[in-house]
Amino acid sequence: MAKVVLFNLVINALVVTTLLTGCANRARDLPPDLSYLPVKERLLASDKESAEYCMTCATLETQLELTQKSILNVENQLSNIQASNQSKGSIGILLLPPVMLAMQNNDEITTEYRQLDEKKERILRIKNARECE
Amino acid sequence: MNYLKKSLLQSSIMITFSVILTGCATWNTSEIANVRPTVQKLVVTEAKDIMLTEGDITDKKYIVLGDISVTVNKTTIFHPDPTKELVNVKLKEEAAKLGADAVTQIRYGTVGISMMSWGSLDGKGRAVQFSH
Repeated sequence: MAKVVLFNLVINALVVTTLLTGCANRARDLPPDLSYLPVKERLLASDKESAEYCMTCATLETQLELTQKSILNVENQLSNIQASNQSKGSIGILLLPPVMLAMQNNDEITTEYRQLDEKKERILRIKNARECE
Repeated sequence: MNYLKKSLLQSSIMITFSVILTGCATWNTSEIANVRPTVQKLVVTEAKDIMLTEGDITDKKYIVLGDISVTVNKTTIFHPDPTKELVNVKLKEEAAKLGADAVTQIRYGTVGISMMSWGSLDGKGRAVQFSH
């Protein structure tokens, strides 16, 4: 009887572990609505303190392209992790539960994605405020 | 020993079923926050005509209608993961219900396993209506 309880506990722990790794991460909250301001003033306080604020339109454009490339790269990494986790998940569920323990955590890459996404958004806001293009 | 085997079988069946049931059909969730009353007459817009942008719109005046939040979940573990395109389609549908002309400030989450699906992706955006 004790073995059965232990077995069930192990199974439950594996399922919980599985669900907590490689989690989907929610989109960041939307910025405050600045549409009541003139275009040139639609910047956040943090934008004015950023390195991008001092850049010229041409540099901003280059930075935007680089950031977009990095985002694509990170997205590919995330989708590889997701594919690998799903394979391990299906094997774990159908054949060998301990395989689920090998599922990869994506926290670090997700943090990188968020930072890049914030940077892209900041560049876009500064470009708009400067009326670049 | 028999009891252990029976329990093992029961656990396996329960886990398999719960996994299958968490993704039996294609499904989405959506939420609209900060809905602002508009003085303009509600004009029905078609989802396909709604403009999407990750930034702001600066060449036209607009009023904000509300903040949209959508989540697209994959069907079963064997289906492909939800994409940004699917999130965009859902954002357009929700914006159309508000009578919006565009969705600005779009941002996406990252695809991963959620409590309800083997693959979830969410997106947010601000529904706006151009001032006529």
